[in-house]
Amino acid sequence: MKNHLRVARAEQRWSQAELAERLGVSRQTVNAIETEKYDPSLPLAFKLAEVFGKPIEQLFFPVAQAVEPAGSRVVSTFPDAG
Amino acid sequence: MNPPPVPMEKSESWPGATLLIYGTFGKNTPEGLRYHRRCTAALLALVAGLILGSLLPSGPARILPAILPGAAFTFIAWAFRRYLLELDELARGIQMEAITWTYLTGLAAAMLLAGFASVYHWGEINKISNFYWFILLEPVRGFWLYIISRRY
Repeated sequence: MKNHLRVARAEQRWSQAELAERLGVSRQTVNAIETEKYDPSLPLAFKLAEVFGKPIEQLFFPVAQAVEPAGSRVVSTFPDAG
Repeated sequence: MNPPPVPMEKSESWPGATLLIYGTFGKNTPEGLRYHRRCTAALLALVAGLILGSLLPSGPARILPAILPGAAFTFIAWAFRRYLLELDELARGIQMEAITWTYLTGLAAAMLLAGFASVYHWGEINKISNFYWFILLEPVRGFWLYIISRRY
């Protein structure tokens, strides 16, 4: 999975520690999600969406998709989608 | 509109030394501190009990130092389970994967030793004890697989 967490966090001007506290996880876990070393569980992904006030699909998307920052536009999706 | 600049932060990783020495993520969190305190209390009680037991004369009272190691480590196992449940999902996943690998390493090491013991006749006791690990661990794993699978 890819994600826009770092950008979303920057928009809120939160540190990783602040975000971790809001989520009830460790700072290392926030870092691992941001650096895409770890895909969060569905409950944690929904909690992230709730904390940022964004739909989950604006934060997370499959590797096969290329999405502009902040999830404004889907450039391409899966092969031969049309 | 460009997004605001992303603040760069020091990439703080998991506490390697604490993981290596204590097998935990440290005492900086309430659950970590609680687990460390419980382990320390159990180990102190174990040492005190064993010292006391060595001073006791033969008799029924010696049952206390006999059951103490098992009781202390049962308490530590309970405390570890509580600790696992209080960790966040990634930290818990890391702990669980470590346990899995520990188990697999134990199996491989036991069978490696057992092979050498049986070929080079290292003695019946060594051979039996190393094979015994495998015989003992497999049903235990099956038991826990069953128990855990009931939750889902």
